[in-house]
Amino acid sequence: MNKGQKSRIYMILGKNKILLAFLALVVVISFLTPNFLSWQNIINVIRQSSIVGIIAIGSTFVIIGGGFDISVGSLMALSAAMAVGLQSYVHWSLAVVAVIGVGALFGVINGVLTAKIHIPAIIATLGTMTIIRGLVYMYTGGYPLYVDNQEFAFIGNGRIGAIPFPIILLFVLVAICQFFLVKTRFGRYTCAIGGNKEASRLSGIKVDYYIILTFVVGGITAAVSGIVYASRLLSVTPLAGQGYELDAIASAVIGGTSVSGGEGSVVRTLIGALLLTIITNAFNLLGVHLYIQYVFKGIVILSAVGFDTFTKAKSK
Amino acid sequence: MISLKTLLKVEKVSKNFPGVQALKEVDLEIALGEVHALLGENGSGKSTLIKCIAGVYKRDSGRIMFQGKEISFSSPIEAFCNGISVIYQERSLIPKLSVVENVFLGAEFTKFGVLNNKSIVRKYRELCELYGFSLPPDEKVMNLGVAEQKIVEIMKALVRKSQLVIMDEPTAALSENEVEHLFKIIRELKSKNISVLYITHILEEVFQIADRITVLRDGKKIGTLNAKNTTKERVIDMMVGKVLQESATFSHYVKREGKPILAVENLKAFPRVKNISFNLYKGEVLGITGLTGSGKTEVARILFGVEKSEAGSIYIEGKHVMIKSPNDAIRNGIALVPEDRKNDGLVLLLEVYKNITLASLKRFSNKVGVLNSKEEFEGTRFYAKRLGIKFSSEYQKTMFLSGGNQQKVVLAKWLLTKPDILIMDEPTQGIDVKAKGEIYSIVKQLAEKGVSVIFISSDIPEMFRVADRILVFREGFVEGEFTPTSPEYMVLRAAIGGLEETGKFGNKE
Repeated sequence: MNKGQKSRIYMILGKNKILLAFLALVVVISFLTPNFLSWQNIINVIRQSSIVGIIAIGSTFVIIGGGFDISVGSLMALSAAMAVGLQSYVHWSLAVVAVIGVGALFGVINGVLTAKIHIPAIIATLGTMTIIRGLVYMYTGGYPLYVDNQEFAFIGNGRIGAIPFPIILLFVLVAICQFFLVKTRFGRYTCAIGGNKEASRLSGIKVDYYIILTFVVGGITAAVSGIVYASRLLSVTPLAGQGYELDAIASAVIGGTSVSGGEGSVVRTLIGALLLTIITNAFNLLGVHLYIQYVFKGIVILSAVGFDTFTKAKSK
Repeated sequence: MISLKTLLKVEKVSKNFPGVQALKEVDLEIALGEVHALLGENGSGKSTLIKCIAGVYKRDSGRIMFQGKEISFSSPIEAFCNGISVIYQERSLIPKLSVVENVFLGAEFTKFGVLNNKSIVRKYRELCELYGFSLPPDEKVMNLGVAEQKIVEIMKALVRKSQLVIMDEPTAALSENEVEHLFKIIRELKSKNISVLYITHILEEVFQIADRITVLRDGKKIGTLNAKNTTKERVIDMMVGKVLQESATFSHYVKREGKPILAVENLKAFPRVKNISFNLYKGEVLGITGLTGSGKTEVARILFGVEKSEAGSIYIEGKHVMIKSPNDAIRNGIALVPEDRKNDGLVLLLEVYKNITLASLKRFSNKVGVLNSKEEFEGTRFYAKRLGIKFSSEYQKTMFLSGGNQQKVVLAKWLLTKPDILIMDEPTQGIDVKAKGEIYSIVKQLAEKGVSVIFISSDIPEMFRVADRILVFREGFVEGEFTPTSPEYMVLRAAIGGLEETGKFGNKE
């Protein structure tokens, strides 16, 4: 094998190491737990990934643009609560539209706080996370909300053919958002701004506007996720979605999104989200205690990001 | 007055960089308690020399003796701890720490590992008394002015018992009063037998403060003069390398036909731009030169909407325009190749083609914003060929290109916007000789095609290779206008303030 081929293979391996890790894990787990590769279990794993997976799509945009959004877990809960609650007044489809609007609105607020008021993104969204959680309590009065609507229930429980609707929704959203990221001006500008804000500004890009837009994507995906959640359970507790923002960020960074911005891919974030679910699923099948699962999950996150940052620092 | 004891002796020091010999067997001798000025144009080897002394670079050959012993520091820290400190133009203090914390950083007094603030402050007071400093110890450095920060750096050097303090253009950003104050401190150092190597472009200062003057040119030492027994003219001759024929003091004014494409009138922006007016004509290369702090970069940034001006007007083809953002500038057909290529010019993380199309992405996408990669690649290849950009593939990350190729990527990005006015700020800084030559010929070709270019550089010889007309900025004013046939020393004199009063045609009040 000549040198050029070799370096090309290294490059392809390097770019897809997350995919390789994913495949390796699947092989190992399928040996350990024969049930793992059953159709039913595969479908289960992907469906379980869909709620966090959809949030993680938005997180990917925000992180690539150089930000962070930890308010999305609370926002998912508020969206879920409103999707249920609003159905007392309007048709479910209108409730869905309204909820997506609320998600976008909080995206704008997060974006403005970061881009225009210059609060560091993690602190700005820490603030809105707390506010939104408060709103969830106010909206629900602290009690679980219920809804009984078979049409609405389709979003979370329905199937098209043999495939659950949340999975289809997840894959469609991943496809659309990957297209946005790679094939549109918005996606390109997001990468440029996350890579170098000043150079982007000096290239005539309306930096603030596009940063706000990444948060809007984050808000909308959190809202969609909340709708799926509400429809799946047909009920929402005020504690819903706690920690989901962290799983979403973990999915994005395990999928190779650069924590300092500028690089990332929605497809790889999806693989990151699946990886996290598979670990949980496999441990459950193996009967590993939940406490140990937490420790292991943390180690996976640190390894994925650490490998990336360490090799980058070394190559400098 | 100069004591005969030698503190530092540089003997036949040479230093090569790939493609350039930066220092050729340079000698330098600094006496104990002497203020020694080091002069030379950009690229004459001044910075390389001080970096060899201070342990930033390793010399290729020659000897450096300090306090009678041969030294060869492998890092600036080692030099610092051994009595040689450098005060660079860029500040190297920690803004959020207090004066006293900065002064004693890395040299704190401790008792059982705990900071002994009492003795630190006592030592600080002693230092102030001894040298006549009066900075409040608890003030945060970020609240200090530039001059006061320089003083903090000097105090830092004194705490380490520096015998030699090297100052790299210390007055570049100081007001007149601040310069006076700095000189007082330098004289104080001198009286305590501390030597100062003083690097500057400003001749007046040299004659005020220096005992001896060493001039470098093209990496060689031209000579060392006693400041008392020499003249400004003699020093300029040595710097430029041409013998003064006559004391020509007038500017060579070029008459231009037609309406200017860009007219700048009475531009003011505190503190650097005091009153700047000039015209730019279609298809010309207007060179703008001047010292650091003369206002040339600021004017470029104002024209491109990055910085604000307090007063003045900008006209494009006779029409008054307001440029409030880079976006406005681009809409008006202006492009800027910024001074700091890596931080302002490129997204290093992104692929070559993405950088090249970044400023004109609207042209490569449809109404709803979907990109046309095929056209992007075509545009990239077109300019890669035209400018001779070398990359392994369009997908190569920009960070892996050489400096010259990176600069061409920035240039390609702006050419894709089809500018009428192209501003280039120090476009040849940090790139090799061959790439420099290529940039010059690209600029000339552009001008022939009708693009008006403002070529900003502090490298005066470069002006003569590329510009049709040369403006010299000095301290925020236009000091003079020259043609490529004007003698080089005249341009240098205008830049460093050697023009006779009668010859001034600028717009000083």
